[in-house]
Order: sequence, then structure tokens, then C-alpha cells
Amino acid sequence: MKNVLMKHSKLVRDIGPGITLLIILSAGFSYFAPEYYRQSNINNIIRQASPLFIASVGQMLVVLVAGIDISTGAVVAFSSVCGALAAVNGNAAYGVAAALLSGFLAGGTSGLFVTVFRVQPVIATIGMLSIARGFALVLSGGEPVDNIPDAIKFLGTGEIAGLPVPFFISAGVFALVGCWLSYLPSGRSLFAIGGSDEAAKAAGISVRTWRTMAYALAGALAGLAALIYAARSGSGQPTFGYGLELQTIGAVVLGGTTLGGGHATLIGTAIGALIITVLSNGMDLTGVSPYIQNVVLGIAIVAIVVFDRLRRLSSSQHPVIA
Amino acid sequence: MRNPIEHMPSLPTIVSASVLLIAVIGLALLEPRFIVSQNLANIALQAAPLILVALAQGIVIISGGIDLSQGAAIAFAGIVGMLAALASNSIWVGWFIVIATGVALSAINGALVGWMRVPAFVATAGMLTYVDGASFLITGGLPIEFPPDGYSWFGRAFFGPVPVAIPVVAIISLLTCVLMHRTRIGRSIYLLGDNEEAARIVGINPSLCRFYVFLIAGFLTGCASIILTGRIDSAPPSLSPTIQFEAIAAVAIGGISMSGGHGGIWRAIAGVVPVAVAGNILNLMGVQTGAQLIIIGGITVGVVALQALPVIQLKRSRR
Repeated sequence: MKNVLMKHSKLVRDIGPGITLLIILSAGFSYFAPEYYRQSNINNIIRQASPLFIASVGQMLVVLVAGIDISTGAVVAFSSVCGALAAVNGNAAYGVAAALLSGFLAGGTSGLFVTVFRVQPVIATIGMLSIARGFALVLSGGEPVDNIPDAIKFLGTGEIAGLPVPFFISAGVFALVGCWLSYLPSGRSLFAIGGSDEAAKAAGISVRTWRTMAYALAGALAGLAALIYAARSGSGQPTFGYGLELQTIGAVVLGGTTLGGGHATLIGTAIGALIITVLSNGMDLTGVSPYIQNVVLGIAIVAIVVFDRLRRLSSSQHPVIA
Repeated sequence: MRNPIEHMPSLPTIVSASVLLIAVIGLALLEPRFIVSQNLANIALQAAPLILVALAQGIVIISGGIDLSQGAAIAFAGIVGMLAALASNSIWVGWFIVIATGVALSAINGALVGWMRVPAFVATAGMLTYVDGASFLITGGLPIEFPPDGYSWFGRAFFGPVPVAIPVVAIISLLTCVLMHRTRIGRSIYLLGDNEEAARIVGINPSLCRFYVFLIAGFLTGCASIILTGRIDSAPPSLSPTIQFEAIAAVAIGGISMSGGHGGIWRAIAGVVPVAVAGNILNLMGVQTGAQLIIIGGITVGVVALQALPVIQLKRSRR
């Protein structure tokens, strides 16, 4: 009984601030923009939040194994171009496969550099940022890849039973990743790897394999997010995802995941992604210029991380990793 | 601290130096425009601000951090400075404001990383986002133009065949090398990057030291901004959005350890040469931005991966 309480108090500590912030933001925006609570806007928020959530889950996996992925936005651009090219020249199934596979390969390459060549996660993924963005520009010739098939557009714009399709994709990702992390040995091993390489190795976990896999899956999830972005705009674009990496980091930290590894909350990441989406959606509704939105988002995310640091420093339950 | 390995050219440095030499000889044969003196001056002008930015990045990396905001900070400082120069009609005020803005922006990063213990990539990626937004907000997306006469001197003037920027950057580089290797603050930065616990024990305040690191870096990027805006005689909001990646590549190629604490700061300057030459050659050959990004990213990761090999051996032998 005590154990259950402890478990829940920990969850509240992780996601409590996030939920509070979400309620405050929603109340504020619904006051200033009455259309906030309309069904169409709720669906809009779901459509916008889903790809951010999916990419953030990838970021969370990487952060969980004590890494960081700076390349999320660039991989989204790269995968959207690959997916769109495959879909236009082949069919929708090829498009989906190409987006997921290109993301998986890009993420896996970063992962291999981190695990095999001992490149620092920040540097490996910065390199991948340049490479993926470069390939996106080269493959697309710098232009959006248009005319993607309707079957792919359905992934972003379609509805099932009144709910947007991206919602179901996110729910699927949530369920699969949640079950993997909670119930499968390989998923549990990510927590051990993030906590301590040495201990995980001593426990017989193949640290290299699963750390690389975390990066590769993060890439594949970025590819899935890219499909939704491409589906919504009707094209794969080499300019997708500027600043997305910062937003995913913000979502992950807002959700109570510790930068530095060993601890992560999936439901928190979902709330984090929702908060960041609500913030930009609300600013859209109240007519804030996109430039100011960038300023606000950047400052907000840094403030979130500062707040998180202060909270953890004061409770000093986690060692600080710079 | 007097580690003989620090003074030996590392494997990646040798590799990149020989690749550079072969590339230069090959391209001089293939593309005769490359060795025209006008082009050489051009390369020097391109390399000059990049050297300052790479020095800044090198110092931050030596201290154990990373700075992703350089491109955005340079554009913003350039805009604010040129506006100040236009408003006051004084080039001195303008130049001062550019550097002050560079230092102030970097001080924000320094405070966040130093005292708030925010990871450097988060603090600086955040700055990249909000400062970029602020630049576009101030300018409305259009460049600030027509600065007072003489404002662009550092970017456009020549002493005979030599661009003014070259001796200026040489002097600043020399001062930076002295700062990093002959002063207490410089050696503290190395110790901090190598082993924070040890630095604390010998009485260094890590937070304050990190703050100083970013102040120095901000000064250097401010200087780079003066040269960059001077070169094109205007301050656009997207002045050099990818310069931080080139700087990181240069630091990596030069052989400064990406995990901090090791590698002379002169290596950042050495690393700029291949990056600038490669950029120039690719431009002459008409290679697109996309391909240039791929090459820059590939070089960064590849060189750091190469670097890691001897480091692993060192660590093992120490145990």
C-alpha cells in the first residue's frame, strides 16, 4: 500500500507542474480567444500536438539512455522528403516505409557514432543535423516535394469517428512505447543503461545495442512525425522542423524526465507536448506574430529547464549533469 | 598540465592537413581560379570571422560546453549595432554596441550554464530560437542597410593587397592564445573542462568560470559580427545561420577534445583553414548549400570519431 502511494506521489511530482501549467494556459487562452474550446480548435490542437508528441517520445528515449538528440528537426525534414519522394514515385506504402526507414537509419547512424566511436551525443547529433538537413536539401532540390498520394494525406488530415487520425497514431505510439518500457526486458534495460553504464553491463545488458537502438527508434519516430507533417501540408519539405529539437527537449523536461538519463515519464512527455502546442496554438488564435512566437517559445523552454533544475537542485535527489 | 601529447599533432590533425594539401594541389590544377590572388584574399576574408567564431566555440568546448547560438547572436548583434550607428551617426558607438550586445547575449548563456546549471546545448539552442525571432522582429525580415561611412572598414578595407580583417584577427587570436595558455583564467578553464571536481578543490568557482568563458566567447563573436556585417555593408537577420556548425567542425578538425579540457586553442585556428578552403572550393565548383552541409556534418562526426580512438587507448593505459 505504502509502495503504491510512493509510486503515485512520484508521478505527481513529475507531472504535477505540467498539468497545472496546462490548466492555467488553457484558462488564459479561452478567456482571450473564445474560439479556443471549439471542437474544430480542439481537433486542430490534437493534429498539431501529435507529431510533436511522437518526436518527443523519441527524444525521451534518447534522454533516457543519458543522451540527447539535436538532430530531431533535421531528421524530420530528411524523412519527409524521403517519404514524399518514395510516395510520389512509388505508392503510399513505399512512402510510409521510406519515411520510417530513413529516420531509423539517420538515428541509428548517430547511435553508432555515440556507442562505437565514443562521439559525445551532442556532437554526433549536431553532425547528423547538418547531414540530414543537407540531404533533405539535395534530394528535394530545395523545393517542397508535392503531389503526395491521398492515402498519406489521410494520416494527417483524415478523421475516424470524429477524431483526427494523428490522435490514433499517437495513441498507438503511446501504447507500444509504454508497454515496451514497462513490461519488456529490453525496454526496462534502457532505464538501467541511463542510470549507470557499468551497472547495466554488470547486469548482463548489451549496453551498446540498446543505446544504439534508442537513437535509431528516436529517428524512426521522427520519421513518423515527418509523415504527419507532410500529410498535413500535402508535401515533404526540406525546411520542416527548424527548432523542433528544442521543442521536443522542452516537452520531455516539462514531462518530468531528467536530462542526464535513467528516469523518464511517458505520460509526462504527452502533457509536455500538449503544453507547447497549446502555447503556440493560443498565440496563433490571439494573433501573435510568428517572430514573437519564436521569442516566447525559446524563452519559455529555457525557463522550463531552469525551473526544472532549480526544483531538482532544491530537492537534490538527482546528481546534476552539466 | 604540461602533457607532451597536447603538443603533438594528433592523428586527425595530420589527416586533415594532408587531405587539405592534396586538395589544394589538386584543385589548383583543376580550377586555376583558385590560386588567383583575388581569390586567396577572398578566402582570407571568409576565414577571418570564422577564426574568431571558432576561437569562441573552442573556448566554450574546452570548458566542457557547446554554443549553438553563435549564428543567431552574430546576426542580432550586427543588427542592433548598425541601428545604433545609424541612430547616433557614430561608427564608434555602433562598433561598441555590437560587441556589447555580443557579450550581453553570451552572458545570458553563461549565467544559465554557470549558476542555473542548464545544459549548454539547451541554453544556447534556446537562445538560437528567441534571438533569431528577435532579429526578424526588429528588422521585419529585411536587412538593415546604409551604415555611416567607415562603419564597414573592418570588413571591406585593404592594406595594399591584404584585407584589414587579417591583421586584426591575427592580433585578437594572439591575445586569445595568451589568455588561454598564459593566464590564470585560461588555465582554470582547461582544468574546469578536464575535471570539475578537481577545479573546485583547488579553489576555482566553476559557475563564475563558466560565466567568464561565455563572456570571452561573446566578445569574440561580437568582433566577428563587425567583420561579417562590414563585408556585405548591411545587417540581415539571417547573416550566417550555420556558422556555429562550421566553427564546431573547425574545432574538431583542429583536434581540440570535444569532451573538454584538452587541446591548445591555436588548434581552432588551424581547423578553420581546411573548413574555409573547402567552403571556397565548393563555392567555386558551384556545389549547393545542401551538399556543403553534408560535408561539414560528415567531417565533424568523422574527425571526432577518429579522435576518440587514441583517447580510448590513453584511458586504458592509465587504468
